[in-house]
Amino acid sequence: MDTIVACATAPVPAGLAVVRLSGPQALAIAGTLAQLPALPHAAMRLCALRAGEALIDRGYVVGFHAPRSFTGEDIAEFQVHGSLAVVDRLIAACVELGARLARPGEFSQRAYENGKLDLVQAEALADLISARAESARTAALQALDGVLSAALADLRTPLLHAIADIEARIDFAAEPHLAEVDRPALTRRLGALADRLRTLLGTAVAGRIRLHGARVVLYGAPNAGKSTLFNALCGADRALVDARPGTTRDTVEVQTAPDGVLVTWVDTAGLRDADDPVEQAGRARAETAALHADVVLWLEDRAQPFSGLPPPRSAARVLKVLNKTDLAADPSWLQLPDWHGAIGVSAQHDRDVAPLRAAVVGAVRASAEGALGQVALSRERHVAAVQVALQALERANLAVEQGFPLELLAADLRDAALALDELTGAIVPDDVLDAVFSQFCIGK
Amino acid sequence: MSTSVPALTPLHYVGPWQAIVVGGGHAGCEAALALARGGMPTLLLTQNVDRIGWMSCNPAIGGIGKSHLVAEIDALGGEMARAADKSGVHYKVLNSSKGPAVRALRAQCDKLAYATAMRRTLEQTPGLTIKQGDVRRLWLQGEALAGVETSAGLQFAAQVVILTAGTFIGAVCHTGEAQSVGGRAGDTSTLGLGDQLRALGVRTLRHKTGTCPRLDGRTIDWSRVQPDPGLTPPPPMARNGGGALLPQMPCHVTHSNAATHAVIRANVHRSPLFGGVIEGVGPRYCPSIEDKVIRFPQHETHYIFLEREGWQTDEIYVNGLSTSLPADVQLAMVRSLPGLEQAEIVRFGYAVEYDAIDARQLCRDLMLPALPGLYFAGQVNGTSGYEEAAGQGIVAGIQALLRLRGEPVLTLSRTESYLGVMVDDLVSRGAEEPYRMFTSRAEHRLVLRTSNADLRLTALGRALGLVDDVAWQHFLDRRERLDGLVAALHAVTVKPDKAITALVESWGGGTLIQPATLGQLLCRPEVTLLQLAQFLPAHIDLAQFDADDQEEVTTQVRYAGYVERERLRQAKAQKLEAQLFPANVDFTAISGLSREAMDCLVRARPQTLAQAARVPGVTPASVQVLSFWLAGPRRLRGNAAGSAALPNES
Repeated sequence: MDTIVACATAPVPAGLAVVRLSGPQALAIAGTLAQLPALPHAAMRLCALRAGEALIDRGYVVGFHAPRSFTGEDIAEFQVHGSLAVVDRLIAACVELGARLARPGEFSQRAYENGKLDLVQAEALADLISARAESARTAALQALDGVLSAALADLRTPLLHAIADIEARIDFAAEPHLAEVDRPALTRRLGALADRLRTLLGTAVAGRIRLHGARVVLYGAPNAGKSTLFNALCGADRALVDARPGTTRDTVEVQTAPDGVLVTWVDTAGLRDADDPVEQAGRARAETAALHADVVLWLEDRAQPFSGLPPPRSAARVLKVLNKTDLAADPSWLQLPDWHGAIGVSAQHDRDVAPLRAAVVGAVRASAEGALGQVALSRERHVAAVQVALQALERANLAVEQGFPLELLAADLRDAALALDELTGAIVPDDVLDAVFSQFCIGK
Repeated sequence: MSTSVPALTPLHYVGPWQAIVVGGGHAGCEAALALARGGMPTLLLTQNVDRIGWMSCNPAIGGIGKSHLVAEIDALGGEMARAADKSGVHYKVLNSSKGPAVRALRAQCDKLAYATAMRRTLEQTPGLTIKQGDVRRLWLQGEALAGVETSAGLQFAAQVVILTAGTFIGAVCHTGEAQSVGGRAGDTSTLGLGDQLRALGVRTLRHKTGTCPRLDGRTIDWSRVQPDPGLTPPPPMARNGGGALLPQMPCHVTHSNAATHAVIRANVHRSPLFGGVIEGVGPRYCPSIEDKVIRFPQHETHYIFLEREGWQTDEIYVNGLSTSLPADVQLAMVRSLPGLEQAEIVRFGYAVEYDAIDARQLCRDLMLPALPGLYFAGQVNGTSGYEEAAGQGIVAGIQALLRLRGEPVLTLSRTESYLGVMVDDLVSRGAEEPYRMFTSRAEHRLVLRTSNADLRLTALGRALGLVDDVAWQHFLDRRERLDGLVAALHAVTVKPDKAITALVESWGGGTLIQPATLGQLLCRPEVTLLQLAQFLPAHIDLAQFDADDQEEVTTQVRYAGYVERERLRQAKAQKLEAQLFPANVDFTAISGLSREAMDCLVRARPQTLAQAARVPGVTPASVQVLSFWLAGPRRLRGNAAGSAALPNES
């Protein structure tokens, strides 16, 4: 086992940088650089770090002794001034003393190897590191705590009991005390289990929103003021956001984190020319965007009569917004009771935009409420595995209802159990692991 | 006492043998036959040649899980199924409603006829020599195996020795407070061998098993017990035997009652099991009657089957009444049963305690790596049951044969046979309690059917030289017949015209709306092959397909979807199986493994990642550690593939 080194903080100029060593030489290398004879467990020491006689920096050094460390190996960490030159010099000094540069994700991989994390937790760690908002950080932390692992274990137990019931009937058929399988009761048990899996699948939306944020789509007729409102909504948070052109020329997406909640704002532009035949296509695009939204802001111009747009076809929460409150309201709105609760704003004058933003944050928070509290599926891999398990259970239920031989029922139940086992990493093919660990950035 | 090897100068008995099989039980017979049929001059040494192929307990072959082993032995060219057909007197199909993959055949046998048939086959096998002799120790030259030495001071030389000592090493029989030395009532025990093995560093376990009292049939009131006839005609157990040879007989059923249970409860303190005299671990799935009564007090009655041990005797085996209670209690117990009020006991039931070896010390070919050439098979490896023993016997015989031929070890995969499942279980998990085969041990159960055992294994048996020309031709014919029918079922399409729709509806399922292949029609639960006969091409005559053939074809068609999923899973499993540990792997040097996992791995010595995952005490997290270790740069490459040959999947 060799000793690895990497900078554990982002490689940008900052106040502080953390350089981490893990492996059997970690404490010795750190002791040499810090000129300390020993590094007691979890005790931080201020010291001068020297490569030979040359001073690299003054900083803190702390050692963690195996197995009481993040990786389960000996670990040493330096806190030094966050200059790239200092960090590079320090890492070079570690390499001169026998360490090698860590590959991406290698610290976490070692933690996983050493039984410090299970697969779901390892994924959560990756999420935690890449969390861009408080909501994502909380969700990842909970998964790291094993909340999802525990929920999966809870599902596995009744499944195993059902399997055991069937297997007993097959392998001990000669036992006069073992009655035939009570098929109606079994149907109820499997049905309840399938319901639990469906509920778990239902948390995937919440899980995604918590980790990756909600998609909030502005939906409305041309000239309703969508783009103006879009700019007003994300403007305040520009410093945080990641603005990039969307996948189509006509969509603009900006991500912000109002009140610690990740939101991707989606504007559909380019629908200016009402007579243009392209508008039909544009409207379809807007509708598609609405379909994939978590929250839809349906914007209408209060100074004009209702545009006649059909309601968005979407399972998302819809917030109705009346723009241009600075202008006189068209009297026809009084005839539309559906719109009486709409939120009024003036995007142009940035009036009442903050309450709207707060309403959106509230809607996103509500969407991130999973049916199972803290437990939520957050990855495609989770969703796929639970779907496989659910399909297997549905086949099993069919087998019960149709009176198929017990051996087929047993095979279906076994498939379901295997799918859940793969989820927690009981036995996983290498490609899944590769995918898990490729998501880590260096030194984490 | 156990080291009282005669102080004789050993006499080297010169013979042509390359292999010695110690023991003439079910494992020994199959091992010796495999070696001799494979062309190796083989010596079978047994304490008592009159007990070759003896059924020490239940007079029956087969049963759930076990009949799969019998079918696989048969497919490989073994003898058990044929001997069962030569002696079977009462056949029964079990699990018939639970699916073709778990269906099982059990044949109650005339035990003397079975033993005679088996002995006769051994005697007629060229290259196989039988001798009576009590093997006291392995004959070592330096550290190497040279052969065996009998208590009479004879040394027999051979390059390989297969030890099939059954329950005979360090064996003690218990009936109540009474004890006697012996591995079976009326026989002796093998002394010395256990001590020698332990001195060689072999870990042994203490196991226990038991048997029931035997009754004098003339003292039973047969009018008061219920007859349970066997199947007529009896379905054959062997694929190429002549079917059941003997006239059939019914077995009879009675049941325990409150009086029986009261007798047991009042005397259970006199049982060596409950009194703590027996230290050995017994089989949970084959409990004694006292076990059943004490552990399941809610059951007011237990079924008792009366099985006549053969046409030439009136001795009755009392299935369900295994016991080691004292003789007076056994008599009171027996006489409390309806119809047995006047019954006389011929032999009392007893428990036997014996040394088994911890099979985790063996390689996948059942050879002890510390003493190359020494193989173990049968109950001595911690199993129970004739079929489990015979299965290991043929496997050990084949592996020894390959070793003598200088060919690589054969790996029987879990995905292709129950034999593979059993050997893998034994060498990776060991047998803390006596190991019995169950269908649920085979995770690829749906594809491991008795009806396709030949399709899975006969080509292998033929390549090894164990399948004779007649059987091989039968196999080729059957395979061609089945493949042809399956192909026709997928090729022929029927269109839903008026006549056909009416016909399909008359079968009781739904109507036919779209054109369907015969295979699709057969997937309807109510449709049988015979109903489709009229649509089959002229060259296919369903009359050539017996019930077993029809079931196999029907299952192949109906289970295609399940089998496809199974195949994907197998591919996944094979991927893990393909990850080999280096031959000299030191599990204690792999960081991140828990102490417990290390201990379990050191004992089990898994050769692949998949085997490691099946070792009890090895958690999923440990499997991950091993997986990374294998993938990582720390792996000592080079000699990795050395000893762990993969299945030859060519």
